[in-house]
Amino acid sequence: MTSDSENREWLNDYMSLKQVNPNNPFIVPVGYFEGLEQQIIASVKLEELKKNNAPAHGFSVPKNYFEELSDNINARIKIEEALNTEAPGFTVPENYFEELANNIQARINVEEALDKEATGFAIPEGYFDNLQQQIQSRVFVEEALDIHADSFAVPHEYFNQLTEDILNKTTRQQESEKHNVGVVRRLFSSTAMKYATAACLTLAVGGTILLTRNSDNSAADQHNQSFLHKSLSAIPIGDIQNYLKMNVDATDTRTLIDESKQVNADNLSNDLQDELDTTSQ
Amino acid sequence: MSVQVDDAEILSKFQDEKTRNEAFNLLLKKYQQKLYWHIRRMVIDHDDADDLIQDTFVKVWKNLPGFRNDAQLYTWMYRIATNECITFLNKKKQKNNIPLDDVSYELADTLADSSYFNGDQAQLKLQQAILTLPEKQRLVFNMKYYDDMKYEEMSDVLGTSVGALKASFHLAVKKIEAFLLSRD
Repeated sequence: MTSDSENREWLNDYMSLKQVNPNNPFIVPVGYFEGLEQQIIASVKLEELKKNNAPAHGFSVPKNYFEELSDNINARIKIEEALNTEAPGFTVPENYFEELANNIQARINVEEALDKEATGFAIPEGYFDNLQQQIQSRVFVEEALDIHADSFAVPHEYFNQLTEDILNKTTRQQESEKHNVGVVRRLFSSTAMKYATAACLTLAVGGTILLTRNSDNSAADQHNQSFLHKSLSAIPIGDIQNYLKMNVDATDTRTLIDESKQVNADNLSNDLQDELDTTSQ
Repeated sequence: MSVQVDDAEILSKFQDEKTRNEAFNLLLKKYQQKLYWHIRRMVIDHDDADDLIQDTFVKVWKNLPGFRNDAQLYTWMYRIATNECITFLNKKKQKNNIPLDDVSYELADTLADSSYFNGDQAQLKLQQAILTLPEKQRLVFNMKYYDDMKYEEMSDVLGTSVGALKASFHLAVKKIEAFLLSRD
């Protein structure tokens, strides 16, 4: 850098400054200026491209891409957060253990400090000294507000009456219109009707069950009501078994069954007594 | 050693679209180092200076078609570079939420840590002294001390009267002298 002696005469008045080496103390990386020109030209060309082809620079995007982009990014972030949180086992915030000792110590200090103050509730310094003044100021302010409120006064009970007036002109008017249309009443009380219907159905079902039961007896019931059962029920079972062992064999079974169909129920007791008398002799 | 082309010729070539790129290359060759050092002395850090010199020349490229020849070409470019520096330093101040004076402290730290400073102790002290100056005084001092600019040229660059610049410069020099003496 060449120095103009005429321009630097002023240095004679400042000896400390004059003693400093006037050469440039700053340096640059090796080859910097050789490459700077190319770098600047490249920057200029990029600027030109940006100016000429903004905003797409020849590229296109799918329809509605940018409208959906923020939603897609957020969804992707959530997915990746979910994936990251699926770590096997418990995790801790970053640098947790490094800061833990400091946090614990700070907490201890705070609690020790609180313990010292814990003898009672604390109040700011000079609180009671200022309290009266603050209260008075507050009273003045609220009185002033009340005074101002009077400039926008309303009649006595206005808002109560207002509600009634509005209702009269709106909902109550609608209701009275409804009343003029006519009243529809049910002929029967719906509750009584229900009970009556239930009672009738119960009677009908019960009667049906009773009637069908009598005609629908099982074979056992029929037998129990038969003459044979009634006649034989008086004889001990042991006697009947002994008689049958002595006088009946397997071949008689079919004959007995056939003949039993021919039994005259009315004369059965006499026939049985005759048979018993005959065989016992 | 390359032959320096006249500014008028560069401008003339620039007006013709066919020779515009050639003209710009000539401009770069002629002024890139001067402007770089001006920026570097203001922002101290090489990487910051690198960004700003490129920004400066991109702006030169964009605005040169509208250059009206009412000032010297170099003065005009010098003004662009100066404004880029001031904008950069203001952004640095806002980014770190610190007053401009504290930006100077930050720059002084950068200077101390910089691997791209190989001046002796006296030169280091001088740079530290310059960094204690307000921004405008720092500009004036650098332009006078390092670039040997005339007050009229400085007036074109900074938009300040010659008288104010002289006063500003002498004030700056006094402060620097006091700094250098106090730290001996």
